[in-house]
Amino acid sequence: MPVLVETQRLTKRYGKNCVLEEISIKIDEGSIVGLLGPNGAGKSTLLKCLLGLIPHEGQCRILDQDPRQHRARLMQEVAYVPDQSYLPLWLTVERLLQLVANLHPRFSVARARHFLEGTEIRDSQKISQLSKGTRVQLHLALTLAIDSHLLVLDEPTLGLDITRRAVFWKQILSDYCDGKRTLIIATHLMQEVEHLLSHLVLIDRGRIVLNQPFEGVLERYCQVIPRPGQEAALRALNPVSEEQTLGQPVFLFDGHPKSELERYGTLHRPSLAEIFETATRRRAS
Amino acid sequence: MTREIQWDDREPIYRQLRDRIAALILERGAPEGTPLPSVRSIAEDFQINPLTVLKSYQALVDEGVVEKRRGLGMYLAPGGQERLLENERKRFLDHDWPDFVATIRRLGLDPEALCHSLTNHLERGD
Repeated sequence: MPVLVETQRLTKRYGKNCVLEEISIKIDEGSIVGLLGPNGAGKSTLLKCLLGLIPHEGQCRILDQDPRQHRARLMQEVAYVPDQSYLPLWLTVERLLQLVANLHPRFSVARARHFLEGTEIRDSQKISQLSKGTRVQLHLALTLAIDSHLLVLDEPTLGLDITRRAVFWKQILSDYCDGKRTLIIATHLMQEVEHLLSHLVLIDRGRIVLNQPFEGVLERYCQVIPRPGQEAALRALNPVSEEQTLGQPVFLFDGHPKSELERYGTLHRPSLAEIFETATRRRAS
Repeated sequence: MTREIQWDDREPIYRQLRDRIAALILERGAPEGTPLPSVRSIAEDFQINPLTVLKSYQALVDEGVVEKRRGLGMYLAPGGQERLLENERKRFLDHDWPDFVATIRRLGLDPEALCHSLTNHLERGD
């Protein structure tokens, strides 16, 4: 697969404050990338650097171009939903569709209407009259109606209720992901996206904690609930963490052969949140 | 419809999905050559990565149950249903049955009463 996004030692400082430190990532065409981390980790800043919206140190290439130098050209192929919606409140939905159609060569009004079907959004409504959740829906519909190669979503489902979230992810899978288009999702809601991803980038306080294809992550980490009397044996194998659940220790292992762990207990797949917690704790120590 | 799925954290998701597809094939009793749900539609329904779905199908292709037709999708292979039934029976006896036996022993259940109850259930068809 060709590389679609590549950064080398990308660093961003605000004065003396370093918010991104030497981020080096490679994203293959067609992948669904989760950029995950807690609030304030630097996710949005990294996306803005990738999109050429803010200056930074280090290298960054998207679709083989420098986003700072060729932003206009790049924006024809890249669609982006920021974490806050900036739709012009004074326009009606219909006028907004016309406006975007005039501004963006790869935007299709028909596609936008397709995504708006089944929502409560009507042409004659003013954006200012729409509820917060409906505005998010409208923004996402506009973005999906752009025939892009790369779609960048920053906390896309914030403000959507559970049902609309499910509909949204379903739409993304049915109408956007085709194996060639690439999707980057930044979110702190790890549970919501974990099964969608093919690549995982975890960041914490401006640094990469984990950067790897999702399958590799699942092979690497393993949770073990010991059989009676096997706690000591498992502890001796150097687990990366030990937690107490229901009065029983639960061990997390990183890169230990599962065939060996199986002898001492039952194996479980840890959640992304658990992996994240362990990975950040190890970095801090 | 979007289904709310609870995945078991003891097994990889692609394995669990493979089991669901396998169950679907056995329940439907479909004839060979029957088209199976597309990778994309399953990915949407379960909200999972299409590569995971592909991996589930690949497992069934490797077992000779499913046939991949280039550009067309997934189909039930000739003799696929019988092969799947055979595989699933073997898996039940090798993997699940020993656990049942262990539970029966642990709870001190009476094997004869269990057999009797089992026969009744099977005859009633529930």
